[in-house]
Amino acid sequence: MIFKKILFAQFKNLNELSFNPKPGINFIIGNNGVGKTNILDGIHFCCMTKSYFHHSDKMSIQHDRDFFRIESLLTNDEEHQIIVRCKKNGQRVINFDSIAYSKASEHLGKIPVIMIIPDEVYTFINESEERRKFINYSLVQTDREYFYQLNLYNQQIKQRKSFLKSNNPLSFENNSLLDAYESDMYKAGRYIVKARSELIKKINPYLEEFSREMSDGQQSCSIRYKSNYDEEYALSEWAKQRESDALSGRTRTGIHLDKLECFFNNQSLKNFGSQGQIKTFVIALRFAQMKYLQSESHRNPILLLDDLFAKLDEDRVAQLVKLIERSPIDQCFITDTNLDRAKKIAKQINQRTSIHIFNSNQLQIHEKE
Amino acid sequence: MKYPSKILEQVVDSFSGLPGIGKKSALRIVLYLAQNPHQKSKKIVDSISRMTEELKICKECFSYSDFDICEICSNPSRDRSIICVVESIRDLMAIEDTQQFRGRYHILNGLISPLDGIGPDRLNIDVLVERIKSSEIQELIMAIRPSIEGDTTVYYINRQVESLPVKISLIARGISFGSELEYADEFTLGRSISERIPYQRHRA
Ligand SMILES: [Zn+2]
Repeated sequence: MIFKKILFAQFKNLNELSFNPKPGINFIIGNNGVGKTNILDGIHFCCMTKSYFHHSDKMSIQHDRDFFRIESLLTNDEEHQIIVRCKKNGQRVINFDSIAYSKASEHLGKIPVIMIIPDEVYTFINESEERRKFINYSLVQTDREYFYQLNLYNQQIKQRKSFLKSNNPLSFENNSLLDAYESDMYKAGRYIVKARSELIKKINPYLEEFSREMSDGQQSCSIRYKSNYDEEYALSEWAKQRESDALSGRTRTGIHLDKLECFFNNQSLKNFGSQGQIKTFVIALRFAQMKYLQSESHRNPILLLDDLFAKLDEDRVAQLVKLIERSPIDQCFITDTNLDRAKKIAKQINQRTSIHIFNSNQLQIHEKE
Repeated sequence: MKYPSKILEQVVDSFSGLPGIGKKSALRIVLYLAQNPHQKSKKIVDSISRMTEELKICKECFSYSDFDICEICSNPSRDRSIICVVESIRDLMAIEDTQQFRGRYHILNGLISPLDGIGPDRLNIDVLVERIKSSEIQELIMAIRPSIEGDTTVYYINRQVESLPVKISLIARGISFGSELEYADEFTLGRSISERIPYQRHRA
């Protein structure tokens, strides 16, 4: 799929903006604060029905406004229109070819997308929450049932926690309601663990290939998945932990605590990796994720790179360019503050590139000289 | 907005905030009533005041009723062996509209959700169990909307009555009648395939 036209209205700091991207690589060049990242996030909204950055849709509505709207026109063999509208009261409507989805989740996976943000290079290594987000982000785009089971698990774990908090521990034993929540968590957990293990199995070969390629064979990366859920013991553990979970306000067992460990040349990346090795790992992982999405959905993902080149040394820029070139991308969006750098990179890329200059609320194509 | 009369403003205030009614519609309704004080307003005031004083809740099924026992529960031609369990009176009315059900009802008055402060004790579940123990009920039809809370509530009720000689069934869920499969969302379609029912049973 290729975005042909995107209209933003009252989306973050984009009051009214019309953007006509081209097939291939699109550079968006502008100073800090003009709203380049917001353009990427708007594209992300059209693919994933939500912001990459904020949980609440309200955060994406321009200050003092009641709603935002993003209208986009896409094409592959045929044309499609996606309209996203979010109101301050939390109402969100997604139209695909003029038909509103009854659940936004029905849209997930139609347009696979990957975003790479420099800050995340570090949070990915340091925060296990970010690594679980990576897993979920990959799976909700390829497996509708996973989305349902994850949602079920998250909802029931919250209900269980809330029940434990507000009831007398004497009532916990042989409690049918807690049984109900734990039995749902058990069934959902079983599905989730299986899906996650399979995902990691599929991503690892790509990760190894890309990391080797980026490091001239020096660095071979892999991820290992360790679940905090054991099909055999989960139910009895939860039943045993009711009282202590009530006291601590936490749930000590389950897939919400699953771990993903990162390795380079069989050493722990977190303990022994240099800044450079971490960068290589995270970028290779994102491209592996893209390859995974492409092979599962048979659709070429949209790639969004936010100000990434500024944070990389020249060698890594060259490696990244190589990866972009050989990836299954129909369209890629790259933001940067530096026009000269973009021009230089555009020259190296053996694909169709266009440069859009963003200032005073307008995007203009920069003609090649 | 500035009102020419305090009395008017007070009525507008009490109307606005009702389900589906904002300040503007409230004002429109109130101005209309002010112009027709005797026919309309009087009737509305009387019927509402009668409702607040005389409306009862049926002691059997928890539906609204003019009497201690509602018309459905006291109707001798309705099947006393079968009870349809619903979340709310609106669901009861929707099922009554189909004219397909000849048994009686039981209104839960919500679904279990501790997150929203609704534990099982806030719902009419214990009384349902008592009702089954003390009468000739043979089957419960769970007509609860398919949702996570709905499924939890059904599971919970099932556990409360599993030692009693009562059969539990669920309304069939999935594709709505007359809709085209092509337009059903994938999830609903997937569920209706995995939870399919034998054709014989469907015909019966
Ligand atoms: Zn009744």
